Amino acid sequence: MFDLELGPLGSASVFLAFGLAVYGAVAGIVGAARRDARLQTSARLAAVAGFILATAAVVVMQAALLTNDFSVTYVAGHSRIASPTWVKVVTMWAALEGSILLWSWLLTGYTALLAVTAPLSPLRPYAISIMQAVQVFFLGVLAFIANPFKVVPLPPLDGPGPNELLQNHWMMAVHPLLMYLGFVGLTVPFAYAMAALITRRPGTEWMAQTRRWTLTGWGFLSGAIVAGGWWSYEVLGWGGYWAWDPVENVSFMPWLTATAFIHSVQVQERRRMLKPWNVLLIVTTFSLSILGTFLTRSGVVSSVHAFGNGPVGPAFLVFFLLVTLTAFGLLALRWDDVRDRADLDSIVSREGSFLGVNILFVTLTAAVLLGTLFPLIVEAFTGDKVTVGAPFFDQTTLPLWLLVLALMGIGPLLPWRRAEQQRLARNLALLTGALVVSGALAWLLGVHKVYPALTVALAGYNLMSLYLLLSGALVPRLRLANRGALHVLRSYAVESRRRVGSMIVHFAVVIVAVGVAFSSGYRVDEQIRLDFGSSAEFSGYTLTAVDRFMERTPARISAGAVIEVTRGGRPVTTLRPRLNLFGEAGRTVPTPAVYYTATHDLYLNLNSSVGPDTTFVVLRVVKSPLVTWIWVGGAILLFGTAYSLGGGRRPATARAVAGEKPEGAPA
Amino acid sequence: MRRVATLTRALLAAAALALATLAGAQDVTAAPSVQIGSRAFDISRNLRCPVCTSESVADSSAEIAQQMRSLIQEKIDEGLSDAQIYAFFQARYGDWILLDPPKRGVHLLVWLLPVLVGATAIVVVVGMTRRWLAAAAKAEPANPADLERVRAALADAAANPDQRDTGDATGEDG
Repeated sequence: MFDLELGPLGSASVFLAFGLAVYGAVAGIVGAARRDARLQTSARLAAVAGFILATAAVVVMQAALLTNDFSVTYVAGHSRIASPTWVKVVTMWAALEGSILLWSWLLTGYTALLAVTAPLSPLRPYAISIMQAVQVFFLGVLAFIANPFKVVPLPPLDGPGPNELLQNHWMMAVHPLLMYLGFVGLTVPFAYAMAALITRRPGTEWMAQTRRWTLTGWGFLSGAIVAGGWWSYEVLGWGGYWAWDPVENVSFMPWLTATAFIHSVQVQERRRMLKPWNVLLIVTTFSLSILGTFLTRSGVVSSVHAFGNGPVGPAFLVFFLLVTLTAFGLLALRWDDVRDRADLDSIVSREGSFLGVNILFVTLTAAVLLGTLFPLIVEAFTGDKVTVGAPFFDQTTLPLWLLVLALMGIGPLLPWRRAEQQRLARNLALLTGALVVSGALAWLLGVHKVYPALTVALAGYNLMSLYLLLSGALVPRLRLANRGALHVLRSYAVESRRRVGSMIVHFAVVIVAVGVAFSSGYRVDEQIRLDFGSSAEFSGYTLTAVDRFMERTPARISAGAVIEVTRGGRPVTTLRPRLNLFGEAGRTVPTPAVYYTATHDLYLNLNSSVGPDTTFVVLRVVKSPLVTWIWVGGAILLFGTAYSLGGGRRPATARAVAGEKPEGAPA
Repeated sequence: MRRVATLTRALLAAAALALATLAGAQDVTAAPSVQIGSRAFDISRNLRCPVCTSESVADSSAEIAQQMRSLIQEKIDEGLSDAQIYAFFQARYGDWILLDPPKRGVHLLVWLLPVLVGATAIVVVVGMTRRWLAAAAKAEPANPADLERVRAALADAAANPDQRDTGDATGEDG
């Protein structure tokens, strides 16, 4: 092997990619303004080349991590020789500079994909240029402010390794990727919305061309949030999955506005209304993802005193202001083009329900944003320290979530324009019946807390709604088709992917809501002391500490307890909660042990250290009802999103019905 | 980042000191009450862990959080009510220790602002809705010839449901 300096090589790739992004952004806009096809093509080629260079930077970083090249700053600061290979790979996004490298790389990837696959349209050159302008920011930060490839003059022999919590679970390889895929995916509709404003084409064109990107981004972001919850559950040791922590909140806000967006665009597609509002929603989604990065990466949310001290904080703040002001300025400039010339026949209609969705999600976003920023604002103005925590967010958002569930049931049943009185009355009666019956049933079965009981009631109501939607679609088809119910269902599911996909997603939301309501409303926490050899009772289980154990791998030392779980004398499972120490300087992090069941989880976390002489352990024991259904619901939600995206071309059966020959069929 | 770490360390030291003074006669570090019931956890869920950035006493694995949980259990064992226990911590740390900001003074603002945003959103949407409803009411009546063409097209579509999804009352292509 010839001697290869990885640091300068990585820096060179980043600088070149930055140069290409600048060139592409300018060439694309100039080319579009002058209708110069060659310049436009050149900008698209720059997008592809930029992706290749960013990929090179990622490959160099991976090579540096895997070969323990501590002459590269990032490797010296965040990697460790003893870490297993997968930890070294994911160390790339375990700290700030590497995360920005990942974000930039995904952004160049999406831009290149867009440059290659986006259909030719007046919007395309501008949209690609705007993606490249966003790249200019990220690659600029990477090149000039947070360069992970800087050369360490005197490389250390070993590094400290990534944060302990980050090397403790394989989810580290999944959750951040999903998150960035989501954020970057939602940059595409933002770029197209800006392009639509620039070209004075605020119609439905930009939405139609970005529908897949938006849904993909939304799906990734949803997946990231659920995966993040499960990750917290598996590693943090407190038996919960969501704490309304600022870092969680800032990833949640873009999801809220994106959710409003994917619903609200349908009003524009169908009724040509809400044009400026939809632009505003996607701008807000994008700028909230930047604001979130600023808040969490600059140290601002943990302490006002660190304001602006973080190396990238000011850059993200400036970029956030730039994006917001530019977008709003552009919107104001194009106001005459985007202004609605709309009419509404009745508020009791599909468009009326989407207006409700907008109100609810905007209020939810406002509550989360205000709750997150309030301590900062108060401290900045008065110097007083105030706390806004989970109980605030629960109390402000729970009523809104229930309204979301209520709207989710009735909205899809309402037709566009105006609801027919008779059918509306019948649907409402059936929905109310389901609401009352399931609520009463829950009450009789002992669910006496308000929110869980209301959630069950609304779950029944939503299941009735889904039944009505499905039967409303299938019954006429059954009458006409003269075929079996299963066949009709299958052909409906294939023909109306978008519709069926949304039903699946809404069903998933119901499942998640029930999981959240019960796991937060009825969880039981205790801390018990258990001498080795003795037992304790907890919620119907008998826990016996039978033994202690120690494990040693090159990367960590772990010590834990072996807890036998029995129920009514019968053995249920053996759980092994442990504590881990990564490296000698690190802090200990727990690995809780979870017994998953469909009705509830039994969750054990070790709260005391275990050594050769310890005679007892202190355990945090949590019983969390229905918590598994949150993860199941999350998976169904992703499936539903993917389902509605699938089948881009008309499937073979639909073509066959239309009298065409399927591809590849014998002539 | 380093400044944050320094700050965190300083905070940690200050909080440890605060806890030591707050513990007063009873030595919390020596023999913390180990058996902690679910009521203590429910209370600790509403208290802020003093050394963490944004974790509750229930969620945090920091030593001080563990000691505070024990302290809460001791207070429960002494027969104090939930309100008395919150007041105990509030008296020592101030309102800052409550994750649930009290609904008075400057804190009132954070409770009212989301309500204000929601109310504004409703007012704006209602205002626009009324304008749009008026616009629809003013719409000129359809030309009979156009109406006839639409009816014909609808009848045609109804006769061939497989050709195109015309949407039923539940709105097929939403």
